[in-house]
Amino acid sequence: MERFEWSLRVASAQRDRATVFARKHSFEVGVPVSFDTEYDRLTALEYVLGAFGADLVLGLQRSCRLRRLKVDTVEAVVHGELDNPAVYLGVVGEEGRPGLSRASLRVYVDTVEDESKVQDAWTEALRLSPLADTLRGSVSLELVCKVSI
Amino acid sequence: MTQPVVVGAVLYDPKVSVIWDIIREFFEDHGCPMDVVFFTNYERQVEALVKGQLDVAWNSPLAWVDTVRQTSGTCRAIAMRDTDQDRVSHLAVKTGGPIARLQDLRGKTVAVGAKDSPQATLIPLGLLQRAGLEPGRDFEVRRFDVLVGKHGDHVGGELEAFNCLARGEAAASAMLDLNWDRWTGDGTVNGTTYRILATTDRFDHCVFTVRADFAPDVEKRWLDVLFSMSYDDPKHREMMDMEGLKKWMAGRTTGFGPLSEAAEKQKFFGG
Repeated sequence: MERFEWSLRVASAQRDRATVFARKHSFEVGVPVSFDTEYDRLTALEYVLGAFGADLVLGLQRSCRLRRLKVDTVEAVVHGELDNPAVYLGVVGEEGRPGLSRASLRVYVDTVEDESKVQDAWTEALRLSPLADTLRGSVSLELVCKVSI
Repeated sequence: MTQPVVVGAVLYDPKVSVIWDIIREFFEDHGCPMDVVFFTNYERQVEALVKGQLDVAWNSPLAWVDTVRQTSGTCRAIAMRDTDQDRVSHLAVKTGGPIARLQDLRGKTVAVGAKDSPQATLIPLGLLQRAGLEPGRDFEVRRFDVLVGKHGDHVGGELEAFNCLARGEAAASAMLDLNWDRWTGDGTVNGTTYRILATTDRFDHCVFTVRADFAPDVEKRWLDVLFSMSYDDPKHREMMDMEGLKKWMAGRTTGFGPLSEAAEKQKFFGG
């Protein structure tokens, strides 16, 4: 198969703010990580976790659609934790990694379909997820699908 | 360009970095560039100050005592928060219980914070020593070593010590007055079920510390900016609330007696 490569452009002309250009779209990203709950932009880490959630929510929807399973809403709650935030902050004497060490994602599916069929679709979504596959190598993942009628 | 003043601070929680970002911006905006270096513990920070890698260290009281020790008393205390002055710690006990006075703790267990916490361990144990009760000999010490190296900045050890008292595993627990006030206010500690048995002498808490050779003109410029913070100014108030003060005060060294005495008696630095 031919290789396919994605190209994005990221530019920053303002402090603590970068604009990402992808195809005909653009979005703004703040600092890599912030510990300020009032910080007024989305951080790079939040984009990663959000993208991870969206990957699996939409992946599950697609998987259900291909199996002709009707689902009403799919919603995910994502939590992530850095190995050692103090390393990111450059604290003298800290050890560890600044990267994600743990992420949990809980997907809630509203559907009238048989739960086992939805769980099969979830397994398939996980298998085909580019981001879950990428993170699995370095991050401890806890991924759960909850089905309710 | 003016050389930045290098200030050290120990980080016990990533959120603390937010406060320092705001303070650094404040100094930058007032024409006094400042670099902030975070340390994982006070031992490293004191070492960096003594070696000349820092200009100013935001020291815990124990780090101050250590700096005095390592600089043969030549270091200087240049500023502190109003809330750092005249603190006390309490020994809390169960109301109506068998402990009516300090001597009743003989043979009992006293719960304290981390081994390097001035307010929750060293000074309260010093109070008991002054009353003739020697830790380990006259009473058992149950220590809660949460985040050792951060000198009790984190209230976790203090809270665990109180929980130990609440579980009935200790006859008394030590805590800073501000925590007693906060916890009896928010219901963490029932102020009716528990009471204050004894209170330590007044002591001072954190302090900006410099070496003797810190340039006077740089020090003045830095302090002028620090002291220009006003709680009446809404733009400054948020920063001051986050740091827990209403006014920056000139540093003083008269409030470290109880800790110096306790550290010596308990051989904290060895010897």
